[in-house]
Amino acid sequence: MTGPHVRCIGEPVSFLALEAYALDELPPEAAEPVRAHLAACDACRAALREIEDDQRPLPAFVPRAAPSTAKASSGRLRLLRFGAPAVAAMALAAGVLLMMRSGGDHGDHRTKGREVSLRVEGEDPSYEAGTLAVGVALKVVVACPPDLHASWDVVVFDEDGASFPLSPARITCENQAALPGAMRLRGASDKRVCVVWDESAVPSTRAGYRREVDLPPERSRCITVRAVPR
Amino acid sequence: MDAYTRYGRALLRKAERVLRNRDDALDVVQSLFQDLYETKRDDVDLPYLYRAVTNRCLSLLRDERNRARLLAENDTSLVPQARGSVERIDDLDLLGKLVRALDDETSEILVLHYFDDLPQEEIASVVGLSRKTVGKRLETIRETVCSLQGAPS
Repeated sequence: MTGPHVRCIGEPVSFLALEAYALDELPPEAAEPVRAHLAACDACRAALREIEDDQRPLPAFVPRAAPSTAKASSGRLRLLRFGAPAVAAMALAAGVLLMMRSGGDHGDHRTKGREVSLRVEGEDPSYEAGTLAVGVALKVVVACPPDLHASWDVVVFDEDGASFPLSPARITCENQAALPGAMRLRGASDKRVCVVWDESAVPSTRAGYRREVDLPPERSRCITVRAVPR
Repeated sequence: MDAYTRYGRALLRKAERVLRNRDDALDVVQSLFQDLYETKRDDVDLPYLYRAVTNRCLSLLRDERNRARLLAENDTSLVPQARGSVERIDDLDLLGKLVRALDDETSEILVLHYFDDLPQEEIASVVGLSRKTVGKRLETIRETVCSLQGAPS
């Protein structure tokens, strides 16, 4: 942050990669190009030097026994934004406009002995109960115990695999808690729409969710959304 | 906690870049580890923690009261100079308005691109989107920046 301003010779090495490099946590195949870039780039070398020179004492972390009341966590709960711009979601099949019908629930996943349920609603005022038109903005609504404080993610499975149409978000659990944002379903195949929740308050690891069986049964719930020709 | 000792400084630097406030950055990092402690989660690596810090910083910035305080205490020395063609968003007020105008996912992309210097391929990998979609989101961010800069404050 001091000294003459120099520019990277190409695409800067990201701070995440620099931090991992400094910690010697990059795998060899990733470390080698970083090393080569650093050898040639004054700007990125300076950025790495700042990381390595930052030896300030790290304030002690003493875990509290009581539940966290840190403002970052509480702030997140206050700041959920419903009605965020719709998110186009799924890989597209041919542009055949279909009607989709919400199917029955499957499984018997529970949390803390109480039911978590899920449904998908159309945002369109002309939405007809029980039918969901392809392309219509849809909201995911869950019913969950009020003392369940978790981050929620939506996973949609079809023949193309898994997709994640919404951003993970924390919600205040109640009988009808809508996840922020909306999604649009396309394609001619049935979908499995699932919610997965994580009480750890950090983002879920999506990479492991390739099939429905990959979801943790104690922390997920799925319904079938069936495509019905209009 | 071993992860705190190992990654704490890296996460502090990351939070400071976004928030420009050492105390809030420390609060973000320690509250994250408090949550990890409470949930007995220790299978975390740097990319995972980096992302968690991003989300917590964005939550702080979306809150009006936090944003006002951060603006008042704005320590611009915590923002490193841009190394590449991507300029930093060095106006904290603009950053606050952006994260309130953008959806969560696009806000995360904003931080990854403008503060962490991640290239589009890495952003796509982190957020689970295609590179093309990431490119569209970056265009949305640029359009929103123009819109906000043109609008009266």
